[in-house]
Amino acid sequence: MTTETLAPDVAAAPDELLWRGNFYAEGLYAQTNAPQGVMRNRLGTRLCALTDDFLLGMNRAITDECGPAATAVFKRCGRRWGELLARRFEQEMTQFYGQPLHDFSMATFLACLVELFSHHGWGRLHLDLEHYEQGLLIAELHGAIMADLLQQTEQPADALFAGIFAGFFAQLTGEPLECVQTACTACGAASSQFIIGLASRLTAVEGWQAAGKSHAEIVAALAEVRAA
Amino acid sequence: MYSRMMQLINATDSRYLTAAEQEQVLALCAAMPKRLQAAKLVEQHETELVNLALTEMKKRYTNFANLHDRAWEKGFRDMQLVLRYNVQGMLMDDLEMAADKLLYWLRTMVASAGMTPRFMRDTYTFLRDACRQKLPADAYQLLEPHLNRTIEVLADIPEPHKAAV
Repeated sequence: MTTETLAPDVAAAPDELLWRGNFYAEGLYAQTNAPQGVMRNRLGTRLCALTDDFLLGMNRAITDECGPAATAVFKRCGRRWGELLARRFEQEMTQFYGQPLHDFSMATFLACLVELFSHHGWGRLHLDLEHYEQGLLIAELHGAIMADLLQQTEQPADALFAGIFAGFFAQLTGEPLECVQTACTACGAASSQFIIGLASRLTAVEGWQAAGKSHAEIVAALAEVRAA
Repeated sequence: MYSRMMQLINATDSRYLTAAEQEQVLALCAAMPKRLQAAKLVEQHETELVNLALTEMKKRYTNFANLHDRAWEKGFRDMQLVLRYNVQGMLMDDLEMAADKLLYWLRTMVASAGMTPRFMRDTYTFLRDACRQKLPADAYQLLEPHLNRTIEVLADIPEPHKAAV
C-alpha cells in the first residue's frame, strides 16, 4: 500500500454525495414560520406535528370502528403512506444530493433512512442486513410511537409502521414486499421488530406467531423458506 | 456561541438578563476572535491535516483500498466534513453540534459499510494527532474537546458481521 499524498483534485472527488452532509441535520431540516402557522422541511415539504392525544384518538377510533379488522386497516393505511413516503424520500434525496437515489451506496441510503425516522420522532431505526441475501430485511425500531403510547397490549401495536415498511420498500424495489411485526415493546419486548420480505415468503408468519414463536425463531424459520 | 447564547436567552424567558448572565454573554463574545482565528488556521491547513491522518491510516490498513470503491478518497472527504463540523461546533462552543448535524448520520453509514470500532477510533485519533502536531497550542486546545467527542461518537459502533477494513 502506498502512502502517497493525495492529489489536490481529491477534494473534488467525482462522488459529490457526502459533500452536502446530512439532509436531516438538526437546526437545518425543519423550520417553522409561526406568523403563517406553517412548518416546512428544507426543501419546502409541509410538515405538521401530531401529539399523543391525536394519535391515541385515531388509534381508538379505528379500533372501535373496525374491531378485529383494525390491524389490517392500520396496515393498509401505513402501506399507502409508505409508498408516498418512498416517493418523497427519493425525490428529496435526489434533489438535495444531486444524484439519483438508486445510485446511492447502501450505506448512504440506510443512513439517510435512519435519519428520516429519528428526525420525525418515529423512533430510532436499525436495519439488519444479515439476512439480506436470503431475501429478508429486519427492521428494529426503538421508541416506536404507538407501542410507546399504548404501553401494554396483547398484540403488536405498530401495524401502521409494518404497513409503512412494506409500502416503502415495495415502492423503491418494485417488488411485492410485505412486512410483519414480530416483536413489540408494548408486548414486553426490548424493541419493536419487523421482518420485510416477499409476501409469498411471509404467509406462514402469522401462524407461527399464534403458536408462540419468538422473533428470532421466526427469522430462523424464514431463512429456510424459499419464495414461491 | 449561538447555542450557548440561545441557552442563555431561553433561560431569561420574559425577563431581562441578570448581571451574571450579561457577564456570560460578554465572555462568549470575548472568546470569539480566538475561535475564529483557530477556525481560519484549520481551514488553511485542512488538506495537510487530513493527509497526515490518511498517511497513517494507509500504513495501518493496507487492504482497505481493495475492499471499497475509491476508499481513501471517500475517507479524505469524510474527514474533511468531520473537521468542518468540528470547527462549527468549536465556533459555537457546542460539543454536541457536530454529532447532531453530522456524526450520528455518518456513524450509521460507516457501520453498515463494514467499518470496525477500532478502524473508526484510529481514523479520528490520527486526525486529532495531526491537529495537535500542526496547529498552534491555543488553537488546538479549542478544537480538542470536539475531536475527542468525535472519536467517542464515531467509534461507538458494533463490530460488523463482516469487517471490511
